[in-house]
Amino acid sequence: MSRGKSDVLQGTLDLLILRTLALESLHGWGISKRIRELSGDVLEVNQGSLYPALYRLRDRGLIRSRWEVSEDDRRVKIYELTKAGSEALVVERDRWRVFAGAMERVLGTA
Amino acid sequence: MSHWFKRLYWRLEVLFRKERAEAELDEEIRYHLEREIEANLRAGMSPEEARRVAMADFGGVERTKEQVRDVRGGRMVDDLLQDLRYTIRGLIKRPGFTSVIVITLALGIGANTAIYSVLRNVVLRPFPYAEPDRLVTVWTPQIGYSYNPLSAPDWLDFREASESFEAWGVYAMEAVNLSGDAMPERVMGVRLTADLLRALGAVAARGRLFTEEETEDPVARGVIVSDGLWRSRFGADPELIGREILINRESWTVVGILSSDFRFPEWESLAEPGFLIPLSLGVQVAERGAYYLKVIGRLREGVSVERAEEELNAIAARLAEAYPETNDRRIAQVVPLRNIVLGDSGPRLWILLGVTGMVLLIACTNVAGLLMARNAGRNVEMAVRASMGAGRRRLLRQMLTESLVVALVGGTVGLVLAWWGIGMLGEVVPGNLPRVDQLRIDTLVVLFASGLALFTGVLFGIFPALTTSAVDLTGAFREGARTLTAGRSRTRFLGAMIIAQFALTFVLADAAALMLRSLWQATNSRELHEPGQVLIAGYLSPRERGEEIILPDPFVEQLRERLRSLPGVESVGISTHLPLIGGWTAGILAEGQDYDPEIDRGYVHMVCASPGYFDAIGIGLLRGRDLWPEDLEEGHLGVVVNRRFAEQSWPGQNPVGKRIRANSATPWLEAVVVGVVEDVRQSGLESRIEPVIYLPFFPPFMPTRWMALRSESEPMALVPALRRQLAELDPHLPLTRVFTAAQLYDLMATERRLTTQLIGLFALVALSLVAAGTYGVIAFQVRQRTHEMGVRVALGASRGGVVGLVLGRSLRLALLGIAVGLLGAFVASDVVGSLLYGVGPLDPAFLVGAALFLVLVAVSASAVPALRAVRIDPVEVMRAE
Repeated sequence: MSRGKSDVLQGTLDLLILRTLALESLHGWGISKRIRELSGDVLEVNQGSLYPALYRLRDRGLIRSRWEVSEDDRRVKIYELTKAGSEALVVERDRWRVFAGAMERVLGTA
Repeated sequence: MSHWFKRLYWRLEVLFRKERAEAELDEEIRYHLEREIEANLRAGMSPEEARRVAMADFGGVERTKEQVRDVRGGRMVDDLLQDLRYTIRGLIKRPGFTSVIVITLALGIGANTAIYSVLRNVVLRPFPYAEPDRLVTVWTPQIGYSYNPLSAPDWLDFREASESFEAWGVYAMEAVNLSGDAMPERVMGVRLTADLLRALGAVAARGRLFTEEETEDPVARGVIVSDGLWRSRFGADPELIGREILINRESWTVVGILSSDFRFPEWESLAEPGFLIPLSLGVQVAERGAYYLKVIGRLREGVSVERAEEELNAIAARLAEAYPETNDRRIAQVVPLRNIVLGDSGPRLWILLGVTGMVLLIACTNVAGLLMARNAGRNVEMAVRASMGAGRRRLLRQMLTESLVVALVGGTVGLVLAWWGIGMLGEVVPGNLPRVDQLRIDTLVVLFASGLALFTGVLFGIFPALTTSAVDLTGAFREGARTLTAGRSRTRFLGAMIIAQFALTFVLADAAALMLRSLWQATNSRELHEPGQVLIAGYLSPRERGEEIILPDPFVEQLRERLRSLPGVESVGISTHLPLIGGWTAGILAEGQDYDPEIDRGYVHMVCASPGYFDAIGIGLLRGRDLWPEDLEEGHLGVVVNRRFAEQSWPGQNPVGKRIRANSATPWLEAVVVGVVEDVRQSGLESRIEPVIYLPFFPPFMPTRWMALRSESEPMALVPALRRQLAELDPHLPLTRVFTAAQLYDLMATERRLTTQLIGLFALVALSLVAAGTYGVIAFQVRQRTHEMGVRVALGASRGGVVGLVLGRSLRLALLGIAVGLLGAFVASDVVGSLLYGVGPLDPAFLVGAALFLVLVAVSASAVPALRAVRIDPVEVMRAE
C-alpha cells in the first residue's frame, strides 16, 4: 500500500468519523455501521482501517473515548466528539465542499 | 494544555502498562468482529460464512493492530526494546561470530580513542593561559634563518618602539645547581622579566610575583618557586616564603610560590619542577651580537600575528641601518607560542589519527561483510517477518539496532583498550611528547568513543541492512533456504569492500615498512666507535657569578686528571656539547674567504672539547692531531674541524694549518686548524651532516659539561667511582644525566621509534583484518556457489580449475585493491615522506614488496575456502537439492 493514496483516504475517513460522531457518541463497530447506513452503502469503509483512524483522531484531541456498558451488557469503548472536534468538522466539511465543488465543475465541463 | 498531558499519559500508558493497552485494543476489535458476525447471522448467513465474511470485511486483524500501535505512540521505545531483546538473543546464540565482530570493532575504536585522547591532551586542549591565541614568541633571525633569540640592546629597542603588545618580556633558561639543605640537585631555572609573567597571566599561590623594579635591580635576590619544586624539594612547606635557598651556592630569598596549574611554557615539555629568578638586563651581556633572550608577549586585543610582525620588521629595518655590523639582514619573526611548545608533535599525531581512522574503516567494512554474509542466510526469516506485517522501515530499524548494539559493545571494549593503551603510552614516552604526563581519559574522550561507536554502527550497519530488508517475498520463499543466493548488489558490495581493504592496507603496510627502514637508518649509525663502551655524564660548570674566567678551565683539567687515573678507564674527554644535541652556532670564515656582510656564509656548530675527547667518545681522527692544552695559548688558538667543514671550505686541499676567523668586522675568534675528524650529526638523528668546529674551552662561556669515559668493560660500573671523584672536587655539584653513548642514540630515537611502533602495530592490525575479511568473503562465496561448483565438477571440471576459480576471484580483488592502493601511496607520499628519514616515500622496492606481500595474504586467506571447494562432492550437492 503506497503512502500517498492512503493519505487521501485517511482525510476522507477522518471526516466521515467526525460527521458520524457529531450525531451521537458511538463505539467502533457502530461508527462503521453508521457510515455504511448514512451513505446508503455506497461508502464501504475498510473496517480494519477505522481503528488506526480513531486512535489518530484521539491523539489529535478531536475525539475522546471512554469505556461504557452497552445495551447488550458488554464493556465497550465509546467515542465522542470534543469541542475541538466539532470545530474541525466545520472546517473539514467546508474544505471538502470546496474540493467536491471543484471536482464537480471540472467533471461537468468535460 | 490538558490535552497535551493526556497524550503524555497515553504514551506512558503504552510504555508502562502495555499489557492493559494491548488488552483494550484486543477487546475493542473482538467486540467489533462479534457484532459484525451477529449482524451477518441475522442476515441469514451460516455461522461459518458469517465469520469468514466478517473477517474479510475487517481486513487483517494483526495488520490493524500494528497500524494502531504505530499511531498510538510509544511505538519507538516499544520496538526498540523488542529489537534489543531480539538482538541480544541472536548475539548470544552465536558467541563466535559476536566476539569476532566485537574484537574487530574494539581494536578499531580503541586505537582511535587512544590516539584521539593523546591528540586532545597534547594538541587540542587549550594552554593553561588566558586567551592563549594572543600569546606569541618573537625572534630575530637573519634572512633565510629562523628562531634566533634576541640580544639585550635589540630587545630594549624593540620594547621602546613597538605598540603591538599588551605585555611582553624576555627570559633565558638556565640550568642551575640547587644545594644547601639537601642533596645537590640540578634544576631548570628561568631568568625572566616581570612583564613576562604578566603576559602569561601567572598567579602566585603564596607570596608574590616579581615587581618591575625587582627585575631592573641587579642585586635583587628574590626567587619564585614552582609548585612542583615546592612539593618535591621543600615538602610543600607553608613557611617557605622568606626562607633562604642556595642557587649556584648563592643565597636567594623565596618570595613566592606559583599556583599549581601554572606552567612556564618550556616546562611543558620538560615536565620538571623549576623556579623563576629575575632577569636584570643591567648585569647581562650587553653586546648587540649576543643573542640569548627569548621573548614571549601577549598581543593587544585585535592585533594579528601578521600585523605585529610587520610592525617589528619596520623596527628591525631601522636597527639594521643603525647597526649594520650586527643587524644587517636581520628581520623579526613572530610565531604563536602554541607552535613553539608543540613542535612537530601536532602533525605527527594527526597522521596517526588518520592511520587509525583507516584501521577503523577496515574494521567497519569487515564487520559489514560479516553481517552481510550472515544476513544472506536470513532471507527467509526476513520474508516471514515482512509477511507478518513488519514494514521495511521496521526491518531496517531492527538490523540497525543490531549493528548499534554490537558497535556499542565494541566501543566499550575499545574504551577499555584505549585506557590501557594510554597507560602504556605514558610509560613508554615519559616527557618525550609535550604534556604527555597530563594524559587522561576525560568526558570528551568518552564522548568521542561513543560517537565513534554510533557512527561505525550506522556505517557498517546500513548497507547490510538495506540489502537484507529489501526482501523479495516470493523470491525468498521460492528459493527458500536451499541456496543462499547472494543478490548481485551484495556480491558487488563485498567485492568493493575487499578492494577497499586491500587499498588501505597497502598504503599502511608500505608506510610501516618505510618507517621501519627509516628507524633503522636513523639509529644504526656507525658514527661513533663502539658507543656501548662510552659512559657519558653531565654536570654544570661550578663557576659562580662574577668570578673571573680562567682558561683553560682549571676544574675541567683537574677532573680530567682524576678520571684518567680511574681503573678500567681507557680515555677521558670533556666537552660542552654531544653528538646529536649539539653546539652553539656561529658564522665562521675559512681561509680564502673575506669578510663581506652582503654574503651569507651559513652557520657552523661550535663545540668546546678537552684533549682526549675524540678518543673517548669515539669520533675518528682523520688528519692532523687531537687538541692539546697548548692550543689555548694566546695568539695560537688551535681548533679541530670536521670532515664536512674541511671539504666545503678547502675542497681537495690539506686543511691542517689553514686559518679560520669569526665572520664579523672585528673577529672574536681567530684560530688555526690542527686536525680533522669524522662527521657526526649535530641536531638530532634526522639532521644532515653539518660543519663543526671543535675548539678548546674558550669564551663565550658555556656552563654545560659532558664527561665521556671510554671503559674497558661495562661502562655503567664506573658511575660510583665517577661520583666519588666529583664529590671530592666539589661536594655541591650534582650529576645531571648519566647514559652510554649508545643510549644517547636510542634516546634520541624514542619518538621516532614510538611512531614507527604505533604505525607498525596498526599496519599489523590492518593486515590481520584484511586477511580475516578476505577469508570470510571468499568462504561465504564458496558456500553460496556450492551448487554451481558441484555442477562444474559433475561436468568434468578439474580440481585445478575449481581452485583457480576461487583463487582467481580473491586475486582479482586483491590486485584491484593494490592498484587503488598504489594510487593512494602516490597521493599520500607527501604525508608519508614527512615521517621518513633516509628513504623516499615512493621507493619502488617497498611498493613492489608490499604488493607481493598482500598477494600472498590474499592467496593464503583464500586457500582454505579453495580447498573446501575442491572437496565438494557433486553427488551430495545434487541430493541436497
